Amino acid sequence: MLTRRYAPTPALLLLCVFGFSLSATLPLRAANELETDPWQDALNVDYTTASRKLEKLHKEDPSDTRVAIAHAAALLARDPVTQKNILKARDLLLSLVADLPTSETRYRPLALYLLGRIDQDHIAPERLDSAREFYEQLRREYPGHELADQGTVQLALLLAMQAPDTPLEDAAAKVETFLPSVTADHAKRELHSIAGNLHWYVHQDAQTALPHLIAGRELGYEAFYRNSDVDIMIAGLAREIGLSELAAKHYRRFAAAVPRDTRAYTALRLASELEEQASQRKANASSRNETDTRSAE
Amino acid sequence: MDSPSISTRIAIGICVLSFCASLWHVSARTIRRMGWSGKAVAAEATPYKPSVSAQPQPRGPFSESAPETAAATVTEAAATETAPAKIELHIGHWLLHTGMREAFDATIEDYQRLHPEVRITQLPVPIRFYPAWARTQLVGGTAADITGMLALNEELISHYYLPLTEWLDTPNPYNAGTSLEGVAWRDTFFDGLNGMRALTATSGEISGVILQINSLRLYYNREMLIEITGSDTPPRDLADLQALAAKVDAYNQHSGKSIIPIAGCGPYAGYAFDRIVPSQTQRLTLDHSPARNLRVSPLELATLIIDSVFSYTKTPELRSSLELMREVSQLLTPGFMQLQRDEAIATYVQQRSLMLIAGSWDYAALIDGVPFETRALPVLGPSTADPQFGQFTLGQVAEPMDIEGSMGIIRSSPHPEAVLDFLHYLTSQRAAEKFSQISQRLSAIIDTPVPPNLAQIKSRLDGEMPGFTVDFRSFSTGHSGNHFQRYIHKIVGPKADVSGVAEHLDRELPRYLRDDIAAHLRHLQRDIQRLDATIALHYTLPPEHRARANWRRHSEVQHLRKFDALRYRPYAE
Repeated sequence: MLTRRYAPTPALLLLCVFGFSLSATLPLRAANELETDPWQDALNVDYTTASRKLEKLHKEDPSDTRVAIAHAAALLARDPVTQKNILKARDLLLSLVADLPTSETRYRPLALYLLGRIDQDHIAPERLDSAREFYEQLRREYPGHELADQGTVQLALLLAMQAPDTPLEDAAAKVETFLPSVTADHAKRELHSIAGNLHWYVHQDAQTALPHLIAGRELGYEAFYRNSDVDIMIAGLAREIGLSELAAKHYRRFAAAVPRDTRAYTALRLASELEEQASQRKANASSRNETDTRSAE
Repeated sequence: MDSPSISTRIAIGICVLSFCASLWHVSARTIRRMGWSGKAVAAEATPYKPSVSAQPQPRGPFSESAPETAAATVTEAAATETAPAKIELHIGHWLLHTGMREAFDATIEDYQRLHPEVRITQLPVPIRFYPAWARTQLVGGTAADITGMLALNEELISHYYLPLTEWLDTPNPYNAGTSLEGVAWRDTFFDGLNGMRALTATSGEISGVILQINSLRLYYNREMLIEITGSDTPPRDLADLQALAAKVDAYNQHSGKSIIPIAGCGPYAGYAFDRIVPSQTQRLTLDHSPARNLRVSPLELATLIIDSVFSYTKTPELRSSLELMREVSQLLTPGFMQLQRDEAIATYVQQRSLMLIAGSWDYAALIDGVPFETRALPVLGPSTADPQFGQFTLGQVAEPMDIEGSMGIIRSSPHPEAVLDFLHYLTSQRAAEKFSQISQRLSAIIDTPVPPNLAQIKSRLDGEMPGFTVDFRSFSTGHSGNHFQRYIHKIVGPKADVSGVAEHLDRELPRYLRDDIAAHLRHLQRDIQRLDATIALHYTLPPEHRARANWRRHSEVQHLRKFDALRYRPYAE
């Protein structure tokens, strides 16, 4: 029988309880975590578990570049997101850039790209000048590399829209200056999309926006529904400035891609009306030509 | 000797309870992992990683050679038992509406007849508890083999569910001999499972299937309609509904009854407003949507209001939207905002209302043992000829097809092959037809014969694009939506003051909209940051890995988010 003299205090009892409960589950969690590949965890959108595993792997073999760079990347999404982890990732990436030769074309470009991304969007306050320098270094040292092209897109967004005191009126033109410098289709379509949208949203200039949107669309997007989203925007802008046939074509493309969208019926109706208008205009033009010819005769 | 103090006794009691809880938790997880074979399996409990080269062989229609895994499992377990061992499967879901459990029971019975070694049990959970229950089960490692995906986010789905993507390009074996024979499993669903793919947009995997399609309906009592109007011709638009309500009123005065035109409740009134009110902004959307894409998103609307391009007092279409909410609410049960679904349905089946706005998911309850015939219409809005509301509308709005019954295989299921086989069976055309007949709901499987009486609950796509709602109900973190709801009683209640509400919204709503935009941008920024990890981790996958190329798609999504974040940043400052 417990006596007041020998009975454990409630606090001690509760501590034992929680300690036992926690200890019962910790080995299960630890065992759980070791059994899957950290990249698989990332594919499962579990970045925190991926980060823990990569940290462990990096400690075991700091010379493994792939693990090092993945560890740095995972730190950016590890919960809770902290500036400490972001700076840790940054330092790790800086070491990689310093240690890897410029001839290394797989991970060093990725490290430079991530450094630009960290300074642009992760670190607080943002370090836009530094981000710019990393992107420009990436473009300079790895011209034509797919990540240099991605860096170009980020640089365009930074200079056109994010940098302070950047007049939005000049944004589209700034983005256009980067187009000749990218080679990969996926970078070209992004720059076309950004330029086209800026021409429309800032200047309401459908005439200048359309060629960009069409160029991007022809290259083809990969995100779900993006192609149909761009199709209906092209159709709408074309309708705005009286390009009936172009508008009809893209309304039909939209309706064919997403027949159950609640806009599909209206898109098809508009397409029919616009085709009718275009047909009427052609008929009128043809009739006028005939009349002119007869008059001339 | 002193007896233990009260606090000591309480602490000891907690200690014992916690010990038992820990023991249960550990045991449940261990048993789950060991499965029926008695052998420990991998901690992730999916001895089963999808691979292109090792696709599981479908189990049915029953082939001579039973699949190795399940059969071996069953054989080993049966070694020392007198009766054949069962593969026990569980289905966790929230679909308690009339007819659904019965439909599951019938399907399970048919399947078990084909596969006597399998026993399947439903775990139906009331919908209001289901999201919390499902999360707890998933995190605790005790989820049912098939767990419904109601209200689960991308992280939970990606973490706990087995991707089905790999099997979706091959035909469902249970469709042999039907019009869907040879058709890829994915293409047997009305939307190609695009709705399911949208749930896990980051990975692009599809981790579940869908069972049914939902719609919102205006139901009416045919006999009562004849009694009140002398005809069974239903209303065609809002003006007809208003005329019908006047006839109901006249009937009440004449008969001494108190029939309500349309039984309503808070939640379903919200759905009804979502369908009817956008009729007032159809023309506005057609010509003025910011992206010219026949749509105005809540975010775009928020910026248009902040910029005073649109106003509740000065933009006739927005003002008319509030007026239309008022008009519709006059047709509903007095005090409907405080009522719930069950009350609205009871009002209708007890013949205290002529009509009811409810879901297609409620149809079975409306025809189950009631002494009158129920017919269904789309939720009616104003026509272009409507004297008050017609000028802004393009006509009857196209109805969305909402998915229902999303279900997937959890990774920790000890019998993923058996579960996959059952999912194949459940979504086969023959099973879907029977399921539809018993549940009285529309199947998501294409070409499934529709019982004649169910044609009336099918969504109508042949309608004009909807405009936009003006109540910000589903916008961002809900600051503006909640503010609107605080004043909705002055629109739909007995002491209405629509003008006063419009003025108030113009004055006060912009600051709540800015709060919502700021929250939205924080969410976007978090997405943008996380996508850097996604991109890099995909980029560092082995070159031959099928997911590696997705880094470009994730980059594309990131650029879109970044553009929006920069474009809308001034509105949050």
